[in-house]
Amino acid sequence: MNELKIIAEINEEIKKIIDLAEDISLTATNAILIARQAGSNAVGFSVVARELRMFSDKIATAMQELSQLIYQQVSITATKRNRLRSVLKLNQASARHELAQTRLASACVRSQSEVDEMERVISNILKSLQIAMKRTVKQCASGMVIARSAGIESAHGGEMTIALRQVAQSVENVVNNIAIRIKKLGIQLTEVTA
Amino acid sequence: MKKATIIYQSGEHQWIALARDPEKPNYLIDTNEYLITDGTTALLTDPGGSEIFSMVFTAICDAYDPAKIGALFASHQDPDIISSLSLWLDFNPDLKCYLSRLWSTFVPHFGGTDETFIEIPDEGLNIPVGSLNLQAVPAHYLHSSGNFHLYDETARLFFSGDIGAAMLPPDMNDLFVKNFARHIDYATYFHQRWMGSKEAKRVWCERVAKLKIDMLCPQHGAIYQGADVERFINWFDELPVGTGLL
Repeated sequence: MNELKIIAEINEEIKKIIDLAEDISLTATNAILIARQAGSNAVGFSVVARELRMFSDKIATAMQELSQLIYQQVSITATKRNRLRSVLKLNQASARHELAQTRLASACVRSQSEVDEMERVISNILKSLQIAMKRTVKQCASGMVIARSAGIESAHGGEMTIALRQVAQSVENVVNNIAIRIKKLGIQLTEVTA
Repeated sequence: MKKATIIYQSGEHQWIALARDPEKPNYLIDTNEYLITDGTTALLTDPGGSEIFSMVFTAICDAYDPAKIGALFASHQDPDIISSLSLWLDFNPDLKCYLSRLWSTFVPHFGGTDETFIEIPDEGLNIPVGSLNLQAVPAHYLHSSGNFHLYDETARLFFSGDIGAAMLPPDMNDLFVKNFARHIDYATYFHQRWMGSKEAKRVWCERVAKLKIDMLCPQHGAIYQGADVERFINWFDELPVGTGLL
């Protein structure tokens, strides 16, 4: 599969993760309201719900950062493809005629050096992508811990225990979904960088 | 490789036709390019698409030093006309490109900056090429809404862009029209379908009939010379085209 196609798929995955992060934010807000109804019994749950909302913001920010890097990657990859095509055409013309070779020599060198420079920039963007990805994976692991804590804290909800358990289960499902998608994202990024 | 043929010469003043590429894939329309030079510098008409850049460039190298080319002329905005622009600018970033003012913000999608383009106003423009003085002749709506041909009064040669084009079969490979009656059959559909307006056609025919033309040089097909020039103009004048066929 070509790199632009993989990048387009990665971008779609990022959009889905941002949507899921928004789901968590809404669910966490709902959880805070339910915890308030449960009173002092659900103070722990309320703290966990606030942590979940922060987690959701962090994931959304991380995805936006990835998205920007991906945009840069798409832009420069498209330009590089265009330049590579020029290099090919210029080399074809050079190979066909002695005068063409002489006249196009500097254009060939210039175009090739532009391609080389773009590859260097692409390599740097990919490194940034990998770093951002590792950070996101760590954030996601924290999110799973918080989601499990929500499940534990829901047991202290008194009359609201069932409602809190449902909310906690819902959060855990969404966080697990995010974790699966981030893992998939990591694999896709490896394909691009390979 | 395309063949470079000198179709006009008077001292250093030359028209060189670059045509008939046997290696061209069938999915690409065949094109003719014309290099007009006074010996010191040159202008290349409709330099062609990026896919045929290497063929055009090497054909030029056979007949002329491409380093002396100072300008390109794009009759209109189509990809088979000017999509090789970025490659020409890779070769020489100082090249100028003459084209209709209508396309000066469209064609840069193929390459170039505002330094590259010299806009031709609707009424036409005198284009100096060294000591030569060429005239950009309006041919709007035939088939592009911003369209120009190029007249060399001294050589009495007329570059007619898509007008005069013919989709010729492989056995009619001559650079010049040999049998007008047979040739024109291969030009009919192209003109009926690609030329949009009978009013524009009438204006063009009247304008061009007043010029002294020894050769009418289209971007596709074969070159009309001698009596075939007038024969073609009369034929075109009578032909129902474009919206007139709806």
